[in-house]
Amino acid sequence: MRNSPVTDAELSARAAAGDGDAFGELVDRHAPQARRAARVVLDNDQDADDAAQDGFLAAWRAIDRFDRSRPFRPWLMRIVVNAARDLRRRQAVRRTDDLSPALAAGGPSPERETERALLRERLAGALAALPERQRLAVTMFDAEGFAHSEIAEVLGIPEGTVRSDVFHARRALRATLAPYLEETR
Amino acid sequence: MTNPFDSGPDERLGALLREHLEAPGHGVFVARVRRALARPAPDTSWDVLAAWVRPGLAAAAALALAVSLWIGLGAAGDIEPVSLADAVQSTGVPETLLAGAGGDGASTDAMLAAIVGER
Repeated sequence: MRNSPVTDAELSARAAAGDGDAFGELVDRHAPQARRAARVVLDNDQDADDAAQDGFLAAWRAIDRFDRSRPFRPWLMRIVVNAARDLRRRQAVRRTDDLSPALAAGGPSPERETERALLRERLAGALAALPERQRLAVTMFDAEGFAHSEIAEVLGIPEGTVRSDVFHARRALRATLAPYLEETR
Repeated sequence: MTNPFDSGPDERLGALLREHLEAPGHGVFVARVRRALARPAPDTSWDVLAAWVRPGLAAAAALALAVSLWIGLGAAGDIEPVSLADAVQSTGVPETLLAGAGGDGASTDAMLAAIVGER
């Protein structure tokens, strides 16, 4: 989350009073995490963005029911994850094997870029091999900085299960990425 | 890489995950959501049902009226038209009245007795 003089609670209060711009600020603030979480479930950028948008719209419609004594981010992420799961159920997910975005001009050397492309491919494969709940747990914990208790709230599972999921997911990812991680240590 | 058994976030793994899951076009996405927020919310199933209430009631009333007319006309068709004279004659009273039309007291008593007896 970026530093901002306005807290999520203040923005959500204004949004609950009908201030669309305040909710737009929340969208701007939390879109990166929401899109990543949706992509963990759907593994497709377009579907993930559709789901993230669905999640934001659902949150906007439900904002007056949000308990502002609690943190906004887990509440929002729960809605986004549910939207992504709903979308996955509704449609046949278009899986993509296009894992190599365009090389940035003037960026890393070709060798380095090849190495990173290989890493991305390994990471994609390792993530795809994990159960969805473990993917979400490890991403929210290590990439997004959620606490175990917050992940438990998002996923609707006990905190101990979250710890177990994070542990097993990390072990699998580290095993797959070990060669790269050893080289870059 | 940190110990797999620790409870803190693994910064390197987290950075790799963020990089892998990062989607381009943050501004485009936010603008798209803001546009969607500005659009009126789609109708819920209750809105759809509410929109059908008036036409539905009107159709039901029209149907009820049509059915009533049909039943009424059908029932009327089963009964042969009866003239007032026929209906009166079927009671037998007019004959008594006619018989008592002479005007004496005995006839009047007979007429009244006939009427009361018919009831």
